[in-house]
Amino acid sequence: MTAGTRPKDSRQAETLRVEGLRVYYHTPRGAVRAVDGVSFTLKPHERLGFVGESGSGKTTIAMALIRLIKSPGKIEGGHIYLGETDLLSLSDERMRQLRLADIAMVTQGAMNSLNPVKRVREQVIDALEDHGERITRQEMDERITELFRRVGLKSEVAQMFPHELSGGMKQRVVIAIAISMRPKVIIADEPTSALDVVVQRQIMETLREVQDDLGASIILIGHDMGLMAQFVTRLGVMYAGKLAELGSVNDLFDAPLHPYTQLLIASLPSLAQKGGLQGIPGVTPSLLDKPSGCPFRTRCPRAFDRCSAEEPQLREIQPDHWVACHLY
Amino acid sequence: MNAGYVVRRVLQFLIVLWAAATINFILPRLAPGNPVRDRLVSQASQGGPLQDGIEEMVRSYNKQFGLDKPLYVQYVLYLQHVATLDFGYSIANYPNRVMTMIGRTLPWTVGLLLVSLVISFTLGTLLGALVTWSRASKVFRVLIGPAMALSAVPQFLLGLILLFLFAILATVFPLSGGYSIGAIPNFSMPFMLDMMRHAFLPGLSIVLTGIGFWALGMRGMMITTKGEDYINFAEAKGLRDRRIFFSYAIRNAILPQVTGFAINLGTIISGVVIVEVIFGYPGMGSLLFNAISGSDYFLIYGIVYVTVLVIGLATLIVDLLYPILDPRITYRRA
Amino acid sequence: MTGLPTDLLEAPSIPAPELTIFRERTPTEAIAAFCRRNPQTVIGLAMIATLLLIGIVGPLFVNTNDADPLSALPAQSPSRTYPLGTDDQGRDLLAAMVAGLPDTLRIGFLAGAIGLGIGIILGFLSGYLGGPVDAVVRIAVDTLLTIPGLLILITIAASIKTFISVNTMALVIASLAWRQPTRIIRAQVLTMRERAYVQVARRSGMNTLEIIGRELLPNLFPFLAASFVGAVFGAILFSIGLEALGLGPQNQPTLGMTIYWSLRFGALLRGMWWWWMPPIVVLVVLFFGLLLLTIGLDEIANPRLRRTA
Repeated sequence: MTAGTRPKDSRQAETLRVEGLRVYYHTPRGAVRAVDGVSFTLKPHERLGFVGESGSGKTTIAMALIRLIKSPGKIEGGHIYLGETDLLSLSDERMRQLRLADIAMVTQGAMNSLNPVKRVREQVIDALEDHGERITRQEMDERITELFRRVGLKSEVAQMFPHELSGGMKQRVVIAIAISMRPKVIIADEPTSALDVVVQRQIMETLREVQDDLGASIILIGHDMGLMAQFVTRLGVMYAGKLAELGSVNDLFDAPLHPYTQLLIASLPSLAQKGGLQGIPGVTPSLLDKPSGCPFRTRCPRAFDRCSAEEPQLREIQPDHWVACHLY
Repeated sequence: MNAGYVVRRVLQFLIVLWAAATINFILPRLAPGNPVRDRLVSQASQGGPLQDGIEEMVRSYNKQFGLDKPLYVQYVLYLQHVATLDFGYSIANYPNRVMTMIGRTLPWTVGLLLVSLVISFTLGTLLGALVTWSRASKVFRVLIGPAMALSAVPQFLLGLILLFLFAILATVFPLSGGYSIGAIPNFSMPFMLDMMRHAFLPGLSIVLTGIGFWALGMRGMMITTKGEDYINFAEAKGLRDRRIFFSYAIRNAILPQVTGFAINLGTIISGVVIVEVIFGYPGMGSLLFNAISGSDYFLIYGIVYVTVLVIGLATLIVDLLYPILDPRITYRRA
Repeated sequence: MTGLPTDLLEAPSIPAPELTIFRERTPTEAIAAFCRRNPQTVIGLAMIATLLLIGIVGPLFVNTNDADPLSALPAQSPSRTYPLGTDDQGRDLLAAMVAGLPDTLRIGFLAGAIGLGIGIILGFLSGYLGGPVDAVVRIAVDTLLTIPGLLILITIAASIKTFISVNTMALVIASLAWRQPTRIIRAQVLTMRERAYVQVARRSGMNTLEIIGRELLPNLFPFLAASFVGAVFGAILFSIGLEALGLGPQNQPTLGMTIYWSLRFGALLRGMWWWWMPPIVVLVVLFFGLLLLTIGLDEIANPRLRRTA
């Protein structure tokens, strides 16, 4: 078995397989364990979501998947298999080539994701050029027009500067760039946080169409459970750098297993029931100095002795429904 | 670029000129007594072959700026003269006119400045940018220390040290002047080389002190720029490192750097004035020095004003070119 | 929501675990950590402190009257009696250095302090009050900043050449030293004005002066310190520039004037390095120290520039 690949017999039908990913930030006061042993798989054509509070590690996972973790952060361990290759074993240059071509990212804060001093079309083209595509100017323009059509932009946008575009338009440009090389995986990190609700919906629709077109898989990161529920097929709940629960959206919402998931869902306002807003008492634990055992035990209404002694592992309790909790 | 922006900037330029002229007008009159008049009188009383000329000058001075005229009339007359760049005669070098003398020395200063500034700005900015880039060679981090240390020292002090080291201890470069004694200025190659040999040390003092300054500024801008979202996205796009460095990072960080250039132009040029004195370089600086020594007030005011004019013009040009660099400017109030 | 047992929503019955409280650093440790993280401030301060010390303590060891002309035989190279030799007018140059250094420092600090004082007043008023006051101040500062300070100072100084003393020089330089501090402070006040804590203070009934004094000033302290050092740096730079042209106190051996006289008398060509080199060395140390201090204070004021551990 060569380094950086995994045995051929294991589940070929996966686009992405993450095993035991750990990302720590090294501060003068110690290591902050932003992602502390996360494992999951991503199937073709799938829409996988990650929810969690701020600091739960979801954005860090996104950055880790395309290996853009910057000092003082460091990927401490684990594997990220894209097909047969472990991304963590690749050289910097090889990884650079894979970005956008195989695994693309739609970043948070599209307000500022585009270079303010370059026209939009240059920013689409420079990515293609740096990935070795050599095509004529005319072909380039045709390609851009086609790309923009897919995301619902007029071709005139290509000639503009970013500051001339609205938030929604900028986000569409970002999506257009992300799909320009037909990647297998698209990671969308809070793609609509900065946008108003109407535009939010449009963008999510665009994302869905684009994904169908390409046959790619999408990982969607966010903190809005409602938005998640409408878009993804599978959902992972992050807490303190670990996965608390992972399963299909229906399973999670109909019968949530982990107490944290249950509380999260309970906190969603409902049109059916009237009542006060429910929060979750307590605060997230420090990722610098994690309490022993289950990280959620300090706020969990159903914690018992085993919870402080032993850390629960993520296990498949029902078909494709995983929980990390001692209750099961 | 819209017309409003241009108009506003030009207006600003004119206000600066007016302010400089006014300050030049008020200040000498604040001093006890009337030093200009005293100087003229003392020159006149020395006698000698130019006696008549000096007396003529005293008379014309009195006529134009005489104390019997009300202040605001004096002021208006003064402004009129300044607008036409007529500063009268040089007291110490009569019958030379102030503008003639300035005209002779201005090209030397501009030449020295232009070359030195371009070199120091380019090298300094690049150095400052490279220092912040993790993929760049670490050698630049070593270089920036001495560069910044040098930038703390005023240009003329460094010039003195260089002069001592390379013109006295080791006679590699000439001691002073713009060209060798006896040479006649022309455009031939030997003269050009001679000129460059003479301009080398002064230029070097400007460049060495400048590099650290620009590097420090650019370093700060780059650190801020590196944290921007578009750099993050550029990396996520899988762009080549060199392209991110030049087209995304530098291209944005250089905007405030250019503004800084415009702002600091005045200070740098003031420093060059003294450098010229040290090296006996035949530019406006040496002229100013001699004027001060000889209390040649008209020449002093003329030089100061023309310098302000040149700096203001250079700043104006930079400001007007700025929207070419930053496409956002047309939509914002400058 | 579907089938959610209500008992989950009660407060948990298990007490919260002990949180590890990070041990507060002892003062020595804090200082050591600061030195490691920000060596520039420390080294810069040390350099300036040394120079100050020489200026204060020096006169106890060296007779400053020997800084006057005709105190010794002229044009002597360094010897045991005169460690820095003498100049063409018979000054003991070591005494001149010890006498001149405090003068140069005084010009810098005085001009810097006045400049900062005016800068604080104008910057706060302009930034906080806004409106026409702000417009006037802003235009004045911007215009004056475009005019190169040294040239204006040359004009002033040339006109009063015979009347220049150390204090006059400081005042002359102070007349322009307030430009940059005003600009910086105004910009900071503008940013801070809209911050939440100022809004809160305003709503709770504090008047303008109170807000400036109790909320804004303390938070601005790093900037003020950095502005002060910058102003002193600029002031000394100006003073040296003026003196190199001969526009300084004619009878005091300030560092710049010593250099001027040495050049006037051709010390460079005559190999009298002891005349012009010591002032340059001292000045270089002074400028380095101030520059390091400026960089160090900049890092404190703007934590983003800090190096990570």
